[in-house]
Amino acid sequence: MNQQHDIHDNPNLKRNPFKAPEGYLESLEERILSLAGIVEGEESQEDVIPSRGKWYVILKPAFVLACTFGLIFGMGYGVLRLTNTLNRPSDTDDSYYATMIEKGLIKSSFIYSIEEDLEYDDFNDEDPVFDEEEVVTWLATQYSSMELAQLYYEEK
Amino acid sequence: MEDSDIIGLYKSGQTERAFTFIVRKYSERLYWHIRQMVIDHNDADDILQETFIKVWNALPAFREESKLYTWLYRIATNESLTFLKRKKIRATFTFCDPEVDMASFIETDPLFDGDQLQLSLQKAIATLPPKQKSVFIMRYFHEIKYEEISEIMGISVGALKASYHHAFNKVQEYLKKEGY
Repeated sequence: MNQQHDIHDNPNLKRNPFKAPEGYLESLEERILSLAGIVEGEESQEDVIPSRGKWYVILKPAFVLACTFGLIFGMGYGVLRLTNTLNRPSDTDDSYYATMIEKGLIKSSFIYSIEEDLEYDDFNDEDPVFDEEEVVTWLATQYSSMELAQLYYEEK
Repeated sequence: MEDSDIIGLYKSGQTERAFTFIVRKYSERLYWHIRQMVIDHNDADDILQETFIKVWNALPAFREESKLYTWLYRIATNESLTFLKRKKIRATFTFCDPEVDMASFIETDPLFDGDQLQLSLQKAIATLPPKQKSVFIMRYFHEIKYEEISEIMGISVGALKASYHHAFNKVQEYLKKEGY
């Protein structure tokens, strides 16, 4: 028998051999309409429902894009803020202020003692001018190299 | 409802109502067209949804240069061909042959309800290149005229006839190998 004749004339072969899952085809229309944002049953009220606005169709992608950028920017900003906050000591942290005061006292007492020992008279409004050699000599007599290093790093 | 009536509804501004009638009239038919192209029900369902989303978005641009029916088939066919193309690209990375995979999938598909000859025919169709397959399905199963397939696929009638002839010979050869 001719195969070509078989394929063309066998009605059984032209029958669709696939099945759809149970209930799939029955709910197909409803699912597609809901996908498009149309609720079945409301179609009869079509004449009172305005058709999709042209501007809405045009601006919707741009609006979604802008919102996405805004969201990404906001998240990025939030993360940066959070990171900075984590790196920076909290404003309410008492120990931080205590340390700062301590550092300030060390600095004040250090400079104060230099000012006192070197006895500068014109130390009012103008910035003091120190003789480098004199300062170095004074420091060498007053502090050990370890103490100087400690003071240097504390100030830094 | 006739296609012209649906177009009339659309033209009178009743877009949603026109779309509802399109879905009612064509969703099942397009599902089976897509299903025969991609075989797997879940893939067919995804593609059908994509198709109708495109129809919904492109409806304002429908200019009646083609029939509503061929326009819908064109969108569904293009979506299916795009899917098969992507599947083939993905398969190159996994060293698989999507046509062979599809043929073996039919054998184990619980939603396949045919006899051995139908199984062999479907396996033969699965081995066809995507465009040839779509031509064969539209002509053989849906009995769509060449002129309409030409409109759907944007290929000349002569080229379509040649494509169908090639597909037919391949199917015949496959069935002969299977012992039919």
